[in-house]
Parts: sequence; structure tokens; C-alpha cells
Amino acid sequence: MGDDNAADYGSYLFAKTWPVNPEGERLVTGPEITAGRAPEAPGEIALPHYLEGVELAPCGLSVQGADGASAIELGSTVTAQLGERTLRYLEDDSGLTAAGTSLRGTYFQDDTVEETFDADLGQVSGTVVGFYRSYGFSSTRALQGNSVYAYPSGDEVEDALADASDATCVYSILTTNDPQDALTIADELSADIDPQAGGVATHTSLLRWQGVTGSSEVWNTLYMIAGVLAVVIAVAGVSLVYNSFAISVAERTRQFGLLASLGASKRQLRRTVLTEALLLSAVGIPIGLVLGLIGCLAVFQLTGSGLAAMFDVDAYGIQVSVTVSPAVLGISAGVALATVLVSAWIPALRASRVSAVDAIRQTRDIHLTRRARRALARAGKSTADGGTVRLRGLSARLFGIPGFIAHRNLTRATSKGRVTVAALAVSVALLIISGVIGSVMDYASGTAIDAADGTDLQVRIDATTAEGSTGTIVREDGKVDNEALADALARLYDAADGLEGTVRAGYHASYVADTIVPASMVSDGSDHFFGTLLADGSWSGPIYVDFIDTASWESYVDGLGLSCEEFCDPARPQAIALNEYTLNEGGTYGYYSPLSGTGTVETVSFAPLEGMYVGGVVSDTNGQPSVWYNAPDGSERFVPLDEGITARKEIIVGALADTAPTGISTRSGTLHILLPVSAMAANETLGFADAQMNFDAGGSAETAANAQDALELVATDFPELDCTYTNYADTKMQNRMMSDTVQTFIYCFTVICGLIAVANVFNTLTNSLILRRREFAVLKSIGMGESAFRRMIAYECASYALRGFAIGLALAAIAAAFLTQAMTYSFTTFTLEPPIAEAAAAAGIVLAVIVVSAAYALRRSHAANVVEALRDDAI
Amino acid sequence: MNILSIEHLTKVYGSGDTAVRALDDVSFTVDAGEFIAIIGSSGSGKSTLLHLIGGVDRPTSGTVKLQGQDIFARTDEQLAIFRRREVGLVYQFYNLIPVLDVVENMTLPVLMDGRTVNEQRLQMLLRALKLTGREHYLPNQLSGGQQQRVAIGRALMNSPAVLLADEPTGNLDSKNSAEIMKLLRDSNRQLKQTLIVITHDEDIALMADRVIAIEDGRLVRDERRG
Repeated sequence: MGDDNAADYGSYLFAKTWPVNPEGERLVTGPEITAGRAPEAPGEIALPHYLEGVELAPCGLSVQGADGASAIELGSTVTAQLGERTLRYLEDDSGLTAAGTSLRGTYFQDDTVEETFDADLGQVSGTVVGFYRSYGFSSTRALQGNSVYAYPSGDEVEDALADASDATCVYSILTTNDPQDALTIADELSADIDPQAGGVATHTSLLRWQGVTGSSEVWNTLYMIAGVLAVVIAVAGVSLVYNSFAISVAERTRQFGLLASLGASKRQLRRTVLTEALLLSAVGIPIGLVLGLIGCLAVFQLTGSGLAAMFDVDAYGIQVSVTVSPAVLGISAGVALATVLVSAWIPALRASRVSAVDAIRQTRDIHLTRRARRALARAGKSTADGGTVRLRGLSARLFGIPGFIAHRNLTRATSKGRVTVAALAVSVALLIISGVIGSVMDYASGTAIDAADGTDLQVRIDATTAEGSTGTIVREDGKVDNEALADALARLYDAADGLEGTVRAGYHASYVADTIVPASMVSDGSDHFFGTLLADGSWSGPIYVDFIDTASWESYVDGLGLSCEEFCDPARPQAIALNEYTLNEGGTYGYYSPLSGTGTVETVSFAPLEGMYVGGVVSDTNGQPSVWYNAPDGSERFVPLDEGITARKEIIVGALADTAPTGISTRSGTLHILLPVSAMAANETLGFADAQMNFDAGGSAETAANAQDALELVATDFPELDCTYTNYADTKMQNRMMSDTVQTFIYCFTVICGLIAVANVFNTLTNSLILRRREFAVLKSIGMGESAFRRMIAYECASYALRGFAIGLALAAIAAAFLTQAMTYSFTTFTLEPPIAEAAAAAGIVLAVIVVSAAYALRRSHAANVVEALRDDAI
Repeated sequence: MNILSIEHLTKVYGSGDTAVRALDDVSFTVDAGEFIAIIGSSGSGKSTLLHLIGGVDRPTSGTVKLQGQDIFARTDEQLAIFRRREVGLVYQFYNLIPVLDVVENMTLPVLMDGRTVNEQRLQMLLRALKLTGREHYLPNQLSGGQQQRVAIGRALMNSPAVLLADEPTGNLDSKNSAEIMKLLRDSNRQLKQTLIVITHDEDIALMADRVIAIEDGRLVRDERRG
């Protein structure tokens, strides 16, 4: 690009062929076209967007305008000289051909490296048909921005392979028929290739997404969570069905005895139960399948667009649709049938084992535990010795006769109680687990999906690159004049007021500063976030200092519950440090809170040292903090702090915050310290990064686009500010849909679990109480009053509830352990808070259901009054 | 002396076309210490009558006065107290609480009243009912006759003013039946216990001081004997 152009447009451009997909394949996506169109025929060229309309000083890229003009426009003919760039290290004289280009000047030290360029690879020329911008994710060797893209003429591959230059190369993109084979094929290919000549790389992100890569942590997490979900729902469903059958068979023990006494064989009895189960299944299972399908359709109707966004299916022209798989229906029906049969078989077997007489007399209903038998025997002795009869046990003393009878019932009719306790335990566990899964999934989707709340249009403002900035915002020495910048930003923000359909959502200016964070502020376990700490436990390194506009700052301070008097005083600025960061480390995610408390952070400026780079403050070999300098040749120096640091400035951090104001991302591995914009002028030594202004267009991409047009017009009055616009509305909507989808699934799961749990408790308790209505009638007929009766039931239910809750808690703990294990595969810093709220909610729900079931059951046994219940004699 | 007076007692189950008049304007009085047998075919309304006298059910109209007091003027809670103090009920199917042992079942009405058990009376009853040594058996460990004796013990424990028995021997063999009836008869004679027994058994009816016959809910015969 020549020396005269290098400062603005970089020193070099790559020359590449425009990616052309084979017929019917979509292997590569071209860069985003910003003007014109993509090259479609040999002789057509696309150039980077920053060259549009540019008049270059004479260089290797020559331009011939359509009507003799020299600016690069659509229709211009350009010719680019191709050549080989060689770097030579002066010290050891080793030469290498550089394949890197740089947009902003060189990144080699002139005194150690010599650079030469030989224009010996011919030239590429053609008509400019379009300008493009690369996607953010494009890596250096892929479809990055600083390239001349020419439509392939067909000879390029041959030419590149034929010439002896190291600067030319050919990339082949392969797709495997089965993604599972990708890694093996890559290995085989690289074994065949001379490492000097080339290499093989796999698309790791794609393979992880496809579930191929072994270390696919997110998939492990998903599979494990799905596994826990399936197990939990299956166990709950089976227990519900089992309970219903166990109860319905137990209810008819007497009837079976009677049938047996009339000559029914055990086999006939078992068959009766099984036939009944089959008949019920024949009706119930199809109804269940239909309801399940309706539920699936409803859920996918709600989440279809979210799923489409999640898997980016639009890009592939696929549509999300619900397919009814006969196999899945078959499996569901099979599992349901097996559950019903097993649930019917076990109680039927038990019922058929009871002798006819026992069944009629219901002797088997009372199973004494060993303890109860011993207690009875002891009681026998004491009365034989002439002891008096009185109520025994704590329950009787505390709750009188109702407690006494309830206690007897709980200790002497344990098998009935066990069913109830088991049902309660499963329900409690279900409710807690569904709550835990809800928060786990919430955490996962909240961590992995950035909803970018409140920002539809983001304007990134750079002052240092704008044409009109020198002398206004950027001083002669190249430093940013903070006061002038703050003033310009405030004026632009004012001018941007009232754009149609949008609300201004604040702005901030970001600076990068080298700092020392004292040991007292560094939290335990933050080393993963900070990296190496100094020997005394403090940390030094670059951080962001963000200056927030006054209105946003005030509402932020207010929202955090802090006093504006303390934090909004321009004379005595106090900073707020962000203390919750999400870090994506390859396939895994982590949450970090690197700070332990408030304190004073020092920003520092380092003394320059000839021929060396500043590496920051480190502990030297003696453990003393010192400034570390290094040189490309590997030499290094440690300089004491008082020599290496030329200026220090204190920033008082008055508070830590878990939430960031609009526009500041916590998805960062770098500490953010926030200050009001009024403190900008006092912080001249910091290095300006950029400023950002946010607009909320209510989520509409179109409104945001219109606002962008209007804003671009406004910005022409601010030549000192270089604005880049990003319309986030679509991305935001996509993210929101994804998170909504996840949430919908969570809610469905919670609702299903809740329903199963409630049905289970209701079913078990109601039946067990209704079965005892005769006993209740007897108690009433011999003079038990209504309130005593209610106390007795309450005591029994409370006992069931307590035991069910304890066991349920234990079950939930086991499931939660599996969930936590699943989560830590992907979310390294995930720790499960004890689900106290979930447990309390579960207790509340179960208690409410117990009360409702008991009330319902008692009402029903009341409806048949005492006389009728007593008359219920035989069967 | 008149202990119980039943006046115009009517009980209708259901309503409208399906209404069943189980008891139709029945009136009679009972003297203290009397032994009355109520006879009638099944469905005649005799059990309904017994349940009304026992305060287990409330009549559609009419009153039951025990010692001059209308028992149905009481609240449900007062009626429960009435049942455990003033009457003893014995059923054909014993109706013991399965999870309570012999002594617990027998003393239940006393315990429900929050009083301490009269140990002497309990031992006396256990002896009389031949349940000594079985104090801590559960109902399902006892024979039918023994279970019925426990039920009688429960009814007598509180020394109620009136003992009501609904076919107390209907479920028992003749030897057990005779024993149970002797027990009831003795308690009636020795303790001046008023006893009303529903029965199908001619022999039992013959033991009674008075026989009341009910047919279709109406009192059709009231015979004093001896």
C-alpha cells in the first residue's frame, strides 16, 4: 500500500479468490457485502469497505476510474501488484516470508527486523463490483477483511502450486459425509502431508456443535441434564401409576378374599387385576399419547422460532417442524404399558397371597414392626403386674387422644403409611428438583446467551481515528483531551435526543489503564480470572475504566441502593467496580467475582526503556514487585517500582456491583471500574479505548435502522468523532428467543413435574383416608368430637409430611449432585446454592395439597354419614 | 322411672321421588333398667331408630329425650360428648379400631373424655368378659366372640345410662351368642343398665322385658311381658 497510505489503510493487502461454493453445497459464506455485489465472473473484484471512495497515493494498487477519476468506486478498474514480503532478523540473519498483513502500520521493530518486499508474483486486476466487510468471527487465515478478492479464473490453484514462493498457498475446504469421520480423515491427511508444505486443520467449533469432538463439554452437560430429567420424570410417572394401582388393589383386598372364598384361584385373581390393568391401559395410553402430542405441538409452536434461532436454521433454509415418530410413540406406549403391568402385578401378587379368611378379616392390614411388637409385649407385662392404663408416648401427652390414636395408626399400620410417605417423598423430591433444574437451566442460558438488554443500536465512537479530531479532541502529542471528548460526547448525545421510535440508553467512554489492585481487594480463588498474582497477593495488569454519562450513572447508583451524595459528587469521585464476570474458556463457561471488597486501586504509567517493551508489574526473583521489560530477542530486565513507574493515580473504589449499566458487558476477562463522566477530566493519564452510545428501539430492527440513518446525519456535525454503527435488534431478538425457548422448556418441565407431584399426593392421601371411613365412623359413633377428629387427621398428615419431606430432601440431594456434576462440565465455576427457596416452596405446595386432599377425602367420607359408613359392613 | 322418651320420631332419607321414609312418627318411652328387644324385618327401620337414640344420626323431625333433655338440641360437639358418656353402642360387626389393642379399644371412650380410667372397673369388666390375659391383643388376633366382648366392654366402660346393641349376636355361633346375651342380661339386671337390643333372634326377644316391633318405619306392636 506504500508508506503514504500505510497509516490509514495498512501496509499490505492479501490477494485471494472469492469463495465459490460448488453447485448445491454451502461450504463457505462470503464476507458481508456493504456496497455493490459479490464477484460473479472472472475479472470481477471486491475490495475492503474502508477503501470505498478512497484516493490512494501511488502504490502497488493502481486505480483507473470509470471516467478517469482516481478514487476507488464501483466500476473502477484496479490492478494489484503481487509479491513476497520477507522479514529478516538482523541478529541471527534468519529470513522468513511473512504471511501476515497489518491494517495499522507495521508491528515489527525496525531496529531488529528488516523487511523487504519483492513484487515478483505478477499482478491481479479487474473491475471493482463490490465492497465488503468481514464478519467479526473471521480468523486471520480465513475470510478476513484486508484482502483483494478476485473471482477465480480457474488457474489460481495451479499457479500457486507451481511457483516456488512461500507466500502463495492453496486452501482446500473439505466436508465429510459423516461428521464423525472428520477427525480420522484429518489425521490421515496430515500424515500424508510434508509439514513444510502444509497442514490440516479441523473446524473445531462446528465439530463440537455437531457433538463429534470428545471434549464437547456443553454436550456432556446437556446429555447429563437430559438424563436426569428423563430419570426424574420416569420415576415420578412410574410411582404415580404404581401408587394408584397399589391403592386400588389394596382397597379390594376384602373383595379378593371373598372371591377366593367363592372358589376363585390365585391365578384367576391375578388375571382379574391384570385384565383390568390392560383395559385401563387400552383407554389411558392412547389418551396420554394424544395429550402428549398436543403438548409437544403446543410447546414447539411456542418455541419454534426460538429453536430456529438457536440452531440458526434459517441460514440453511430449513424449517422447524414437529415430526411424529412412530418409534417414539411405540416406546412411550411400551414403557407406559410395562409400568402399568408391573404396578398391577406386584399388588395383585400380594393380594393373591393373602388367605381368603385373612383378606375378609383384613388381618394383613396391620403389620406390626418388631418395635411395635416389643412395645405391645412390654405393655402386656405392665398391666399383668397391675399397672394402670393411661395414655403412653409423647404424641399422646402432647396431643391427647387424637395424637394417641394417630400414633397407634402410624406405628401399627405401617404398610399403608409407607405408601403415603413414599408418594410424599417422591413429590417433594420432584418439586425441589424441578426448581433446581429451573435455576440450573436459567444459569446456563443466562451465562451462555447474552440478551444485551436495552441496546438495539450501538454506536462505537473512536476519537483518535476521526479526520477532524486532531487539534480538537486529540492533542498534538497524540493523547486524547478528556475534557474536550467528554464535551463532544455530551453534545452528540444531546443532538441524538428524540430520534424517532428510539430512547437513548446512555453512553460511556472506555479507557485502558495499567493498575495495581491491592491484596485486600483480591478475592480468594480469583487467580483464574486475574492470572498470576504478585508475591504479596496483590495484582497488577490492565483494566478498563469506564466513564458513564451522568443520567445513567445516577440511576445506576440508585439502582444499586447506593447514595448519590457519596457517588455523584464530581469533586470527590468514587468508583464502582464490576464484580461479576462471565468467561468463556473455549467450550466451557465460568462466573467470576475477582474482588473481595472495596479499596483503592492505583493506575500507573511506566517509564519507557529503549528497545524494550513494558511487560507490567511482576514479582522479581526475590519476590519484590518490579517493572518487567522484555525485548524480542528474549532478553529481559526487572526495574524497581520507583524507577519503572513514572506516575501513579488513585481511584477509590467505593462499592462492588454484580450488575453492569446498559452497554457495558460483563462477558469479559478484564476488570471494569466505573466512574461518572464528570471524573473524565481528572484522569488524563489513561489510554483511550473507545466510547459507546446506546439506543433502545424497542427491539425493532427497522426502527433501529431508521434511527441509524438519522443519527449518521446528526454525526456529520461532529467530524471529530468517528462513529461505527451496529444494529443489535436482530441479534438481540434472536438471543431473547433462544432464552425464551429454554425458559419455556423449563416451565413445561416444572409444570409437568408439579402436576405429577400434586396428583400423586392427592391420589394417595385421598384414597388412604377414604378407605378408613368406616374406622372414622366408629370413632365418631363412640363419641369422638369433630375437633378431636380433625386433630387426629392433622397429626397423622403432619407425621407423613415430615417423613416424606425428609426422604424427599435426600432424594433431591442425590439428583442435585448429578445436576451439579453435569453443570461443572461446561460451567466450571458453577456451584449449586442450597435450594432453600425450592425446598420451602415444595414444602408449601405439598402441605397445601395435603390439606386440600384431606379436606376433600373427609368431605367425601362425611357425605356418606356415620350411619352409612357403619352400614358399609361386609364389602 | 321414665329415662328415655321418643316422641314422633321421623327420618326421611333422600328427597322428592326417591325419598325413603325409614322411620315414620314413632313414639314410646323407656323406663330405667328396662330390657327392650326391637324386632322387625330387614329394612323396617329398626337400625335407624337405634342410631337416632344413640345420637349417631339426626332425625328429620321428632325428639329423643334422655332424662328429660332433648339430645338433638345439642351441638355436634355436645352430641359427641353425649355419645361417649351417656350411651354405649354395640354393633353386629364389632367395629373395633384395628390398630388399638383390647384395653385401648375398651378404654377409648374414657380416654376421649380426658378422664383417667377406673382401673377397678376395667379389671372387673375384663374378668366378666373373659378377656384377662388378652389385654394387649389386637382385634385381628381375637375370635369373633372375643371381639364382640371387647365391643361390649367398650360400651359398658363408661357406665352409660343406656346400652344400645344392633344385632350383637348376628355374627356369632349359638354358644358365643348365648354367652354374649347372658353378659348383656347380667349387666342389665345387676347394674340396672337400660338395654335396647335389635334382634332377629326369637330366643333373645323372649329374654326381654318388652318387645317393640317395627314394620315399614312404623311402630306396630309394643308388648310388655312378665
